[in-house]
Amino acid sequence: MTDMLTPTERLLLDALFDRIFPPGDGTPGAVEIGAADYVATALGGPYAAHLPLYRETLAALAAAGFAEADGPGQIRLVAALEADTLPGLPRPAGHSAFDLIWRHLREGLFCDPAHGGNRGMAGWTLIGFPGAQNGFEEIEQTVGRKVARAPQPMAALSQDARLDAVPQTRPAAGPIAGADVVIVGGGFVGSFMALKLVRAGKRVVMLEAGSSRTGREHAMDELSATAFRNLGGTEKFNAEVPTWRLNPGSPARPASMSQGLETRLGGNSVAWGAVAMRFYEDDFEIHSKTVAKYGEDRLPEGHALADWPMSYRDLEPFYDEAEALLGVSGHAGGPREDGRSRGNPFEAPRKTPYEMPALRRSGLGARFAEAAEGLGYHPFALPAAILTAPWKGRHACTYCSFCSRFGCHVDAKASAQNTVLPEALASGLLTIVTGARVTEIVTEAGRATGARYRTKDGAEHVQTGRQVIVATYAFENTRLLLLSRDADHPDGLGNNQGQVGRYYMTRQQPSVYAVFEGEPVNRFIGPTAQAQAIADLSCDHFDHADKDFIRGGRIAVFNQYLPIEASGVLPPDVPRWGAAWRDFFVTNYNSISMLFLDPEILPSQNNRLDLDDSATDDLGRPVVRITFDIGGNEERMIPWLQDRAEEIARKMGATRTWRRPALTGPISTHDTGGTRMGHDPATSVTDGFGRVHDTPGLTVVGGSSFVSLPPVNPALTILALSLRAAEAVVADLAAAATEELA
Amino acid sequence: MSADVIVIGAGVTGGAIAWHLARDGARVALIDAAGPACRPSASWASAGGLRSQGRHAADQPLTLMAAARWPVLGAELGADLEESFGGHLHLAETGEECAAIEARIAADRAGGLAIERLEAAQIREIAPEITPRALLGAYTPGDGQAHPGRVARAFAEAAEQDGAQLRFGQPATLLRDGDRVTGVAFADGTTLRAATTVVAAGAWTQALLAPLGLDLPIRARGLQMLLSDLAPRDLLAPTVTAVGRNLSLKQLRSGAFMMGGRWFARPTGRGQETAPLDAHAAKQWAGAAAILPRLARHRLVHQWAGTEAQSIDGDPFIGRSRPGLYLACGFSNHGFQICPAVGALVARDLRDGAEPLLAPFAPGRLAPDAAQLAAFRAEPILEVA
Repeated sequence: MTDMLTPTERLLLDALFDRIFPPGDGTPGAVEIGAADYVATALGGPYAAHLPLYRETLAALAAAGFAEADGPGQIRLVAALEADTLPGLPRPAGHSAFDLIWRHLREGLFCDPAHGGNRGMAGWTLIGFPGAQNGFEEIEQTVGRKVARAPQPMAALSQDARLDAVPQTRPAAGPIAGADVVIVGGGFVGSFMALKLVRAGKRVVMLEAGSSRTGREHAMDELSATAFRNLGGTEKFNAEVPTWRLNPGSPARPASMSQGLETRLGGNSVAWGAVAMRFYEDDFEIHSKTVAKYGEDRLPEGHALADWPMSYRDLEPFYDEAEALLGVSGHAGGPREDGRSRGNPFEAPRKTPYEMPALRRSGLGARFAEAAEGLGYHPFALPAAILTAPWKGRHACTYCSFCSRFGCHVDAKASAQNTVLPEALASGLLTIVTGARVTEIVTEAGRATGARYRTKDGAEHVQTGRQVIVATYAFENTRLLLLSRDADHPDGLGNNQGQVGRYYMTRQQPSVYAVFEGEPVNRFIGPTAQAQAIADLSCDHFDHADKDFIRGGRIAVFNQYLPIEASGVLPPDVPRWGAAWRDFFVTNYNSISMLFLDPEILPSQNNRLDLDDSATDDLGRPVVRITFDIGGNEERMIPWLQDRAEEIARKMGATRTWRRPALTGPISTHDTGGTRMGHDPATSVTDGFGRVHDTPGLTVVGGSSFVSLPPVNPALTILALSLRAAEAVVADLAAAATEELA
Repeated sequence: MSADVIVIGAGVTGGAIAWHLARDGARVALIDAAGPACRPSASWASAGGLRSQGRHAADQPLTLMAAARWPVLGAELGADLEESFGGHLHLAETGEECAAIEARIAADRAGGLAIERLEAAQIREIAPEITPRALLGAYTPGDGQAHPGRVARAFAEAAEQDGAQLRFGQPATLLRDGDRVTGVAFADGTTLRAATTVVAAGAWTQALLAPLGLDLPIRARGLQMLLSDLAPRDLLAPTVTAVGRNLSLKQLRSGAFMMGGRWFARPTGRGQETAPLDAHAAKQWAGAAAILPRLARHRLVHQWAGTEAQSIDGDPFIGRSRPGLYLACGFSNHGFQICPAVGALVARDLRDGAEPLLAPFAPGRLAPDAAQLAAFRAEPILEVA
């Protein structure tokens, strides 16, 4: 490991870093904590691509006389750097030089010492973060009780659990004969469908662009698991990041990712937060119920509301099946009147209890629940695909600090790898091909017959099958259809009515931050989904007669507060550098919480996905162009929800609050729509089973199938839709076989 | 493709053999249908106890060799093996059981083992939280524990660094030329040839040898393990067994307690996979809580079962079988501690021939009659109360 900077550059970097995070009265600054060492070394390794940016930035500082300047002079120059006004600064796309350097500096302060920063865990010690630990007990989550554990690095962790090894896959090297079904994408959807298909005796070839993995590779490692923020980490998606514009008239710019999208085996099933919640009964009839109760004129301008092509009752057995495969912990809900329900009072009827009790309530959750109850709401624990007891060879949750965006270190959180893939692979009927990047769905006489893919060394192959399933992500599902054209589908498969890409929806995260000054809240203990929420303000659970909007959102407190990310969360009046930043963060790291808002985002005529002809991926193919803005309904609803969240926060004892903007942008992991399901080919791409209306043999399933985006995490519904679609594929194969016999 | 020696099975035994051979300069291929210590193999599931006491007489020289090796093995392999050496404690809870402790101490001392006799008060000094019902203990201070999965992976990595070829992820069958085993054929049709093929495949051994008409007197059994939530660290230094209980108990580095013993698990019908039986888990936990009362206040957080090859007389089969075929299997319940010794001795046996310490384990030593073997294999899984 070598320092990539010249001695002069290195001196400048050290001086800059100690201005951004200065030493305090007896506390170490960035250089002593090892942040500059970390960056200088990373520039010779994972961040080699950023070396020119550092060189140019340091040169700009040198030219401005940074080295010679006195204290106030240096401070003025850092201000100019942050404001991006220093002459000669590099101008990377989508962010400023300071943005990137600031992120890297925070990594060097608070990453696991294995990466070379956070020397002797000095960064963690400074803020009281205990590091890579598990087995936190209930009492340690008490609000007001400081965690007594000394910090621990990943290297000290033992490997108590006995878990599955990396799933066996086959490197991409040409077609495999005899496939009944080709599945594009080795994520949650593809894996669930694969299990259903092999249980029906079908031979399945799954094409996965990335490599195989257990999902535990980056467990408890904040830096590696969030490296997507620096365009490191995901194997394929980084080359395909969509562009974004607010409306058809404006230019599209690269979208920044608020969440990483995983493009290796298991997909986002490794990184998800594992909230496993069903939609509400009315969600499937959002259009007709709204019109019936409030009339057509309450539908917002430019809306694209429609009913789903199925009812809750149609999907219920598949919700049951998905939950049984995942292992969901939760308290069943229903009306509170009988005094027995601890669950969501608005929950759709379910036939069985959850597999196991909900995750325990954290101290912060209890604080939220008491405040919410005091305001007349009905708080409940979110059901989660996280085990609270040992189950099917998996370990119970250890209440560690690393959940959403992380693979689970003990497989307590469900993933494709620890739920469905072992059985599917053991059948001998599933072959997973890795390193197979699908570029096109292949057709013959208008019928889908296979997928063309590219290997890492550039070879192209076509994998054929009797049925083709596209199960990637909302963006790639849409892009693949648009990029696959034949004589019968000149504008792309499924797009003969111009419906592909329409009605894209993405979750906005206009949360309210709350500081409890002087009070440790220990939000860094416990899985993200160990949450308390209210659904009183969701959907039509409250009367909208006197409101200027329809529908609503969910308010919840979640756990997980990891220091690299947390050190970037600041109220509007705290600067991003200097003693003020350091003091705010060091003092308040363990006192900041967030009232997380999941507003319902209505489908809109304005919002869609299409191809951006001016931006291409590494293969020269156009990336997805997102056109997305919130509409008037969201603009009126979100501040109303934020008011209520602030009210709860104040009742919880928050000493100050601040809000995120109503519009937080796309790529939220709740990216949905684009291949809408529906009965009518004129207004949808697929039927309710994901079968593409205008392309026989082709099924597309995922978040892209969604008709609306209720204030509920989409994953469980996506999986239920997948299982239902897989049954249709089995039925279609049987029907085709019968026809052939006749 | 060819090698001097192919080792089938990347568990702790096969890994140790491959590493020692490679270190000596042999061209070795270590192959495994899955990889080092993968579900549901014995090395994957093993509780990882390093117990030198209470061994069969033939085992004792190997145990002593291994006990001298364990403290330096991590450094040799350059790996964290989660090893610790808090000793092993075997307990009597009744007057009758004390006789068994005395007998063990006598036998082990005769074999040259440094074993101590602990009175009740001395037991409390070493392990304060042990039940006051423990009357007498046999204590071997150099024993302890390590992580079998980490050990198997470290062996494979060290073997590779010493030039061994690793081939994981494909099942293989034995290739034959007449009576001679000449190598292996993989599922994808490729082959690998070698002068000697070592079968160290645990519960998969029977299926590998069946085409040769070889039927060793072994059986496959799933053994189940339980894991508790975390307790404060360093509460229980020794690994613990008890005369009157089917139990092994240890506290791991994390603070969790692991409970083993010889509790059979239920075959799932998916290959050699087995799954823990709740009825057994309840008894297993109750037995552990009787020895360590604090367990009554702890929670079960994980349980699993791995499939082990058990030999009819309890001793493994190590040595030449057919021409070109060498066996190392049937280690159930005592393979982990001796694996570094087995690796060194098998490498020596293959190089120099006729290693005397391995002579008692000759594969041809037993000829049980068919009824005996059938009864051994038919022993019920479920323990009836």
